[in-house]
Amino acid sequence: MSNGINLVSSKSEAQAKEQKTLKLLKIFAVISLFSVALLSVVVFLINFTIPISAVKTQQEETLAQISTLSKKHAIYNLTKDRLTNISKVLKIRKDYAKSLNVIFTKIPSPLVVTDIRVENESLAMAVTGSSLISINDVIESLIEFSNSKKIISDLVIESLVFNPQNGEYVLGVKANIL
Amino acid sequence: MDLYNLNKGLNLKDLDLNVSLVNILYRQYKAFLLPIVAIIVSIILVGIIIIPQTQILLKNQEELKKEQDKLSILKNNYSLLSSMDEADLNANLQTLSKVLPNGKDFIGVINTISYNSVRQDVSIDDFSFQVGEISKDLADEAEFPFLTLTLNVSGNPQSVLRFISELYKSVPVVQVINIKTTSGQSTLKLQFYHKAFVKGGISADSAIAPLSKQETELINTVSSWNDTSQGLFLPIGISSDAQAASPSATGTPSPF
Repeated sequence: MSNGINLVSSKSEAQAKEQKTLKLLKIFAVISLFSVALLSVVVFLINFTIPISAVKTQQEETLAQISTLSKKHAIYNLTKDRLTNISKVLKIRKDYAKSLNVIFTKIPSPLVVTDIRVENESLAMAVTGSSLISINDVIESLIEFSNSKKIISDLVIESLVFNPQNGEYVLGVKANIL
Repeated sequence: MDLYNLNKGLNLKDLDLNVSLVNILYRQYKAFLLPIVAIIVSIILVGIIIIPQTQILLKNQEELKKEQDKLSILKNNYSLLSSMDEADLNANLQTLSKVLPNGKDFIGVINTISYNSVRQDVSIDDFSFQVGEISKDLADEAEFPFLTLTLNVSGNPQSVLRFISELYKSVPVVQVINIKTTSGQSTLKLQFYHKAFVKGGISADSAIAPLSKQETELINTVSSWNDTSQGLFLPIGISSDAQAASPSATGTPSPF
């Protein structure tokens, strides 16, 4: 009798569990179908309402407005083009005169620059004068420029020649202009 | 019954048993079938509808953003262009075109040399242009094409340097590449730059920006340079060939 009662109880428990699972499965199925349907509609509606064509229409209107200012637009573009190119040219061009002027400020009045050659950023210069002290000052100034890599670099004193006929010294130097 | 029939009988029996089992299982889990099919259909729908639709949505949103940016640029361009003064723009372009001409500006070159030689007390003995191939399309030339001029100048080195310094503050833009000075005679090799204007259509959707501080400063700087284009400074004649070779010389009346 007891065994029979236990069997009935176990069967109804299993059935209840099965029913519960079935119920959950049904709920899940309904929710998933409903979610998919809802999501499809929402995504479709969002896609449908994205105002790309309205933005394009506005673009066309603005382009039409800009076309009334086409002359100004063209001048503006040409101005920008000139500015860019001038700026580039000014960056690449070397101002040798500026460097030479700085060097000239270090040459005292009794001395005269008799020869200057600038080619491919290389400077060759001859300074003439009767004062050896002034020539020494010039050499010191040039060495200072070269050491500080200011104006010139790689200074080479090529010659220091004394001309007994006129009593003048001629200093020949070579350097790279920075 | 032979062995074949025995096997066949057994197989049919097995099959019969399987069908019975399926029937039992079907009857037992019949109620589960519909929800499971519904879930599987949902999953398939996600794959064939939701994912592609979402991808299209993302793509459309991206395109919308791009188009909105473009519209914003266009509106900004229109607003900026409307606020710009055409006379100012023209004046700036004229100044800048003198600094970096569209083509070989022989007259500008000769004017600037004569103007600065008079001002810096040096005398021009002779000069020669190295024009190069004049039939070549300007746009196909190097990044910064130039007109080379070799110039013989008389004057002391200081005057020659002042002359060079003034050339650097004159139009058209020039670079001195060689200097040779010996006993009052100097030979200078100069490069006068020019650059053809950009060919092709103007894109309305490229962003326009007001002139930057550096650009305004550059305009102010070059505006203060010696403008020798209006003057008549040196009685030097240039051949008609050279004039013909100067595409940018059309705007300026020839002083010769």
